[in-house]
Amino acid sequence: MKLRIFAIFAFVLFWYCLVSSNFVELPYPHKVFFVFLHLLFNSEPVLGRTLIEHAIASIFRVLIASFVAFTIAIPLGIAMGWFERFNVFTSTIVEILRPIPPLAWIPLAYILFSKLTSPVQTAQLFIVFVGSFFPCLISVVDTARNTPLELIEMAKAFNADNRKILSSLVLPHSLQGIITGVRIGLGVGWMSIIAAEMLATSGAGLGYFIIVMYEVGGRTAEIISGMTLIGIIGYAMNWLLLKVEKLVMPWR
Amino acid sequence: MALEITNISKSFDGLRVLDNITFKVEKNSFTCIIGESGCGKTTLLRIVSGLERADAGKVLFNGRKVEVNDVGFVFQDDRLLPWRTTLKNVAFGLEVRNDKKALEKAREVLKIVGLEGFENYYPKQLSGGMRQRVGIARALAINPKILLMDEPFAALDAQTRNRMQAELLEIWNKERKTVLFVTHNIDEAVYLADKIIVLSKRPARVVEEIEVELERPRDRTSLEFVGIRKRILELLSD
Repeated sequence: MKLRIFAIFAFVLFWYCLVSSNFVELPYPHKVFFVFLHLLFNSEPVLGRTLIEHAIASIFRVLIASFVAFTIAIPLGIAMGWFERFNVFTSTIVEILRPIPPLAWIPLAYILFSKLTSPVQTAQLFIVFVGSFFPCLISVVDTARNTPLELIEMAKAFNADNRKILSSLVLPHSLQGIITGVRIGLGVGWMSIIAAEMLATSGAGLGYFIIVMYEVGGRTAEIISGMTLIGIIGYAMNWLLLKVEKLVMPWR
Repeated sequence: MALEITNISKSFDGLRVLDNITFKVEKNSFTCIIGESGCGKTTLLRIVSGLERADAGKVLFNGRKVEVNDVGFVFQDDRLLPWRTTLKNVAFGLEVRNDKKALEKAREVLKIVGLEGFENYYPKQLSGGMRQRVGIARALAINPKILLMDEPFAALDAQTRNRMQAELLEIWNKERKTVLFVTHNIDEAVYLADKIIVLSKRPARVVEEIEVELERPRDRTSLEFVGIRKRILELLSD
C-alpha cells in the first residue's frame, strides 16, 4: 500500500516537473483536479451535461452491446470447444475476423446501419460488440477445449454420458474462461466505445465529451478530466470482475 | 463367483504390452498386481474396467461380461473435480445413475472413509491422503461389486502411505468388495493382498501367483513378511 501511495505521489511530481519545464502544453495537476471535481456533478456549458452523465451514457452502451456479445460468444465458445469439427469450421472465419481492430469497423458500421432509425447508436453498439465478442469467444473456446482428459476419463469410468460430461465437467471447467472472457471483453468494449463516440455525434458519452472539448478550443483540463474518468471506470470494471471471479469460483 | 481374466493380450502400435494374461480373483478377496513401472499394469486394469478393449482374451465376472455398474475405479492421481466439494465429488457416480438419494448416500460413505465433517471442503483444501480417501469414497458410493485401484497411494509420502494402507483394509473389512489393486511397491502388496499376481517386464506375463496367508494386521518386519518380499524381489529382478 505504501508503495502505491508513493507511485501516485511520484506520478504527480513528475507531472509538475513536466509542466514547469514548459516542454509540453499541459495544465498543472491541481488545476485539472479541481476542474475534474467540478465537472463530475456540475454541467459543462457546451454540452450541458455532467461528467457522470456522460459516463453513464458510455457505460450503458458498453453493457448492452457486451451483453449481446457474451450471450452469443459463451454458448458458441462451448460448442466450438466441444465439437472439434465445428471448431475447425468456425475458427477459420473467426481467425480472419479477429485481427481486424474494432475501430476499423467504424466506417463500414455507419454505412451498414444507415437505413435504421438510429444509425449512429446502432453502429456504436455494433463496434463495441465486435470489440468484446472475440476476446470472450477465444477465452471460452480455449478453456472448454482444455477440459482435462483425465477427468473426462474418470467420468467415463463412472459411466457418464456426453451430456453429463458437458454439464458437470466442460461447463464448470470453462467458467474460468467465461469470466476472463467477460473481463477482457468488457475492457476492449470500453476502449471501443470511447473511440466510436469520437467519430460521430451522439449527444452524450465520454469519448464525445473529450472530442468536443478539443474542438471548442483545446480545453486541456476538461479533456484530461474525461480521460481520468475513462481510466477510473475501466479500472473499476476490471476490479469488480476480479472480485466476482473469486465469488463464483470459491474452489480456486 | 469370481472375476476371471483369461488370455488377455494387448498391443499398442505393434508394441506388445500384455501377453496372454490369465488369473482369477476370488469373490470379496484382495488381489494385488505387482510389476515394474510401465509393464502394462494400468492397461490391464483399464481392460478389466472396460475403459480399454483387449486384442484378445476375455474378462468375466460371475460368468458374464463385466458391466460398468459392477466396477468402482480409484485412480493414481485422485481425479477429483476441483469445482466440487468433497460431498459432491463422492456423489458424482450416483448422480450419473440418477440416484435420488445421491447426497445422502455420499454422506454415509464419507463416514466410512473417515471424512465426516469435510463434506464442504474443496479438493484443494485437502491433503493428498484425504483426497485419495475421497476418491475411494467416490468409487464405494456406487456400491460396486469390484473395486479397481490403480496405484492409489503412489503419490503419497511413505508415512501417509502406510497409514492409508491400514485404513483401506479397515474400509474393506466394513465394505467387502472384490478388490484388484495395482502397485509397484512390494511392501504394499504383501501388506494388503490375499493373493499377489507378479507380472514380468514388458510384454507382461504372469510370472507367479503368491498366496499371502499372514494374519492381519500384518507386521511388516516379521520373518514371513520379509520372506515373501524377498521372493517377489527375486521374481521381479529375473
